[in-house]
Amino acid sequence: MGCAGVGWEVWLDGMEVSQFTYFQVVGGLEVSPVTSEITYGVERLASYIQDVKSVFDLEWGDGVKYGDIFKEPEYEHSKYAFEESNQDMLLDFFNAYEKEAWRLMDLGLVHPAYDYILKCSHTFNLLDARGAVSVTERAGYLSRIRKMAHKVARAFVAERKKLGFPLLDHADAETTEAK
Amino acid sequence: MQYLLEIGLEDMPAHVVTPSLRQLADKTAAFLKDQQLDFDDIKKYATPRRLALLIDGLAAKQADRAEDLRGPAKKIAQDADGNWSKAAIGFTRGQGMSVDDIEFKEVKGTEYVFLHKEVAGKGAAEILPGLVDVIKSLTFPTRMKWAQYDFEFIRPIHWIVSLLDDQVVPMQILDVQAGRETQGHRFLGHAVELQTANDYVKALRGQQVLVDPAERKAIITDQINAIASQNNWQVDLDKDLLEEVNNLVEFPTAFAGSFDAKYLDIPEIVLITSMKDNQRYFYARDQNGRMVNAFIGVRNGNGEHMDNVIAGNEKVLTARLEDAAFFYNEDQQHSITDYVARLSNVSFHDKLGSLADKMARVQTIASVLAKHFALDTQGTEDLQRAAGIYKFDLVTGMVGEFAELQGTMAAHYAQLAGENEAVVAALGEQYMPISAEGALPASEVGTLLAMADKLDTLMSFFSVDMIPSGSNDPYALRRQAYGIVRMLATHKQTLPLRQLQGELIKQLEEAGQTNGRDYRHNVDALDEFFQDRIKQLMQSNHVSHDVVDAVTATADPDVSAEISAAEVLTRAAKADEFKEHLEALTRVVRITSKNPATGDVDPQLFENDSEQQLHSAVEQLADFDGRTTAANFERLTALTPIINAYFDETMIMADDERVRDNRLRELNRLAQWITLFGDLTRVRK
Repeated sequence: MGCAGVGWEVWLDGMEVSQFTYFQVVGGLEVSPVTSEITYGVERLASYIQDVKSVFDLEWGDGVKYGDIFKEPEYEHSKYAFEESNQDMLLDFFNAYEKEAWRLMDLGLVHPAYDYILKCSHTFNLLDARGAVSVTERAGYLSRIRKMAHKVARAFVAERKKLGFPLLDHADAETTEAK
Repeated sequence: MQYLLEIGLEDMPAHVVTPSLRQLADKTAAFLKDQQLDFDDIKKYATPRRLALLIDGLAAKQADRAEDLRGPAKKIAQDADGNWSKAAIGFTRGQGMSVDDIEFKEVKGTEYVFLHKEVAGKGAAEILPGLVDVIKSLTFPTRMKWAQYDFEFIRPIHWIVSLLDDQVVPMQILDVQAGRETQGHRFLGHAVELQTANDYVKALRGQQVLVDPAERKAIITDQINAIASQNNWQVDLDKDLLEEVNNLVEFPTAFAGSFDAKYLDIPEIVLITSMKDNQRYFYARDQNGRMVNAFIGVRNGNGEHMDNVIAGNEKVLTARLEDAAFFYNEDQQHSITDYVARLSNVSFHDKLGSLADKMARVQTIASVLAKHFALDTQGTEDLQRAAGIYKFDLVTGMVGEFAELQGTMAAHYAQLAGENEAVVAALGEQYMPISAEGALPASEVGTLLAMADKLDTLMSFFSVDMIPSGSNDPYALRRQAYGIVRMLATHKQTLPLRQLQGELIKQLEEAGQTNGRDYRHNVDALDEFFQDRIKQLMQSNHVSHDVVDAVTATADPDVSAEISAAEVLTRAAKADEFKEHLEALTRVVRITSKNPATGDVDPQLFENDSEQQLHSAVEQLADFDGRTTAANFERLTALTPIINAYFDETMIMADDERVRDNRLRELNRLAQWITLFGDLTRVRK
């Protein structure tokens, strides 16, 4: 999504339990102040605390295991993503979502456009899971998504500017505008 | 005196620690030298969280020094009556002195005002704050900003210790004020105030931080060796892994873990990738060299709760190996033919078809290369077989999980499937060289497969105008072209790349594999792209710039021919007569580049002896065969007297058009052999 940052894989006894990132660029725009992101990890930490080997054995609530809730959906999604997804349909979807995102950006509908970019990203992940995208072509898809992300990020900032950056205090708003 | 500088950071990437520490020490030494502040020694300390220098035997102050400062010329400083001018008074005042201190000295025949000044050296405490600029000048492979600041560094700075003996030398970076407080181990230690610079190593040892990288490395080595000898294992202490692990810990404790012996059925390369590359473990072998179901890890901490740590690490490795075993067994349920069939559903690039399309093109390209390189029948068959299957592992589960094993798994599975040795080797070598200076394929078939694959990638991307520009090279086409250039350089066989492109395009078109793309329209751009890589190779071999420019100025890039031309010219340029030869040969080149002419030379039109002599000499060059050998260049330079005599006795631009054209044809015939070596007019005389 046109993001760049630096940070860490956070390891616990050889297992990556999380990732921590200082974003430098979002949607192709340099961020200031720098934001940070901490990703997944609750389940992995819980698996140490509860001393279970598999995530599905985690206790979710009273007598209910994580697997009771998530195992079947996980299986079905895996079956779909790796074996049953309709590649031609997904390729068409990707192209259609992309087209719609650009159309909405032209209309200044930033948030719906953003939704369609997310759909592109998800569709790409499904195609990738299916092995329908070669290493070489990955770069091409990622660049198409990145282009849209850049555009929508600029549109978002422009939209906020028009509103006078209502959620920023005055000094920050000025520097944001200057950038 | 002793001075301690410590920069406290959020954890740096392991590979950055050692080079950054060296850089800090070098730049600090240069700074002190520049400031004329003497010191005996700089000790270097670093962990992932800190870069530190302890400077021993630091002078308390700069040496006092005398300076002779030059002011205005005497005639400006004093009028005829000996009165001091404003210029002279201003000059002395600016130095905090008076006109009474002025002396005159002569410089190049003119008398000038001079002041002899004794300058007291500044104290160390006054100079050391300047190190803040040294810190800010450090360069890193990646940099980041944090909070609201624009300043960039490898990671956020959290504290700075700056102690001259027992006194804080103030400095500030962003919101961080230097002081005497440092941080202990993240989990085992606390913050600690240092009384003196000299306390540094000891105080941090007390906080479970070993700041000396050499000491840490020695401890890790000893611990691993102890574990190995207890278990009667052999452990390969991989240098790079040891360096990395050393820079991931502040207080190392090595431990051994194990995994179920059933996973030893997985290919060794997969086990090693899992342990070494993914988990940063050292693997172990028994005394017979067989891999054992165990590993050695290094923890950033002490021996407490070690059972827990070992169990955690075993769990993670087991999960990885379980995946690997699953994929390994699953992958063998299908044949190479099955995998190859799936490649038609995997896109190489949306403008360039599927991986199956790519392999078909590569087969075509490989058959042309096989002929060029005079591969024997068996080799040609092996190359065709390899080119027909080489991407199959990309759709196996193992490569899906361990992408870094692409090629390696192709070779492994091909061997299991009974492919012959040459095919197996070629599959394993297809991606080589994997970095600019990485190893090249060792086998002939592997070389040609790697070359054919890269040629296809380059020609195909260029055909759809996806040409790298500036830093934008997402498909690493420069590296691939450089790989081809290096392989051709090693092979030492001439191969004019423009001609080759023409031949390949013709074959691709005949085979119906261009899919409507015009492979011809960027042929020039690709030629130039190759010439740039050839230049890069020569420059990295320290060939002088003029020679590089000369030999790469050929119409058809030919790696071996150009390298050989560069060697010939470099050697020839050392001889005294070179200048004379160069003048004669470039005279021919200059006149013909302005006056191209083709056709036979008619001896009937000769008007003097020198024409006949040159004619016979040029006739004899017909067996050059396009080779830029030293012998051929010597035959050209041997013509110098004949060329000189020719120009002395012959008026090229004769009034009679027939005579003039005849002479230009002769010179053009000669020039075609000279320009084999490139554009000699670019060589410095």
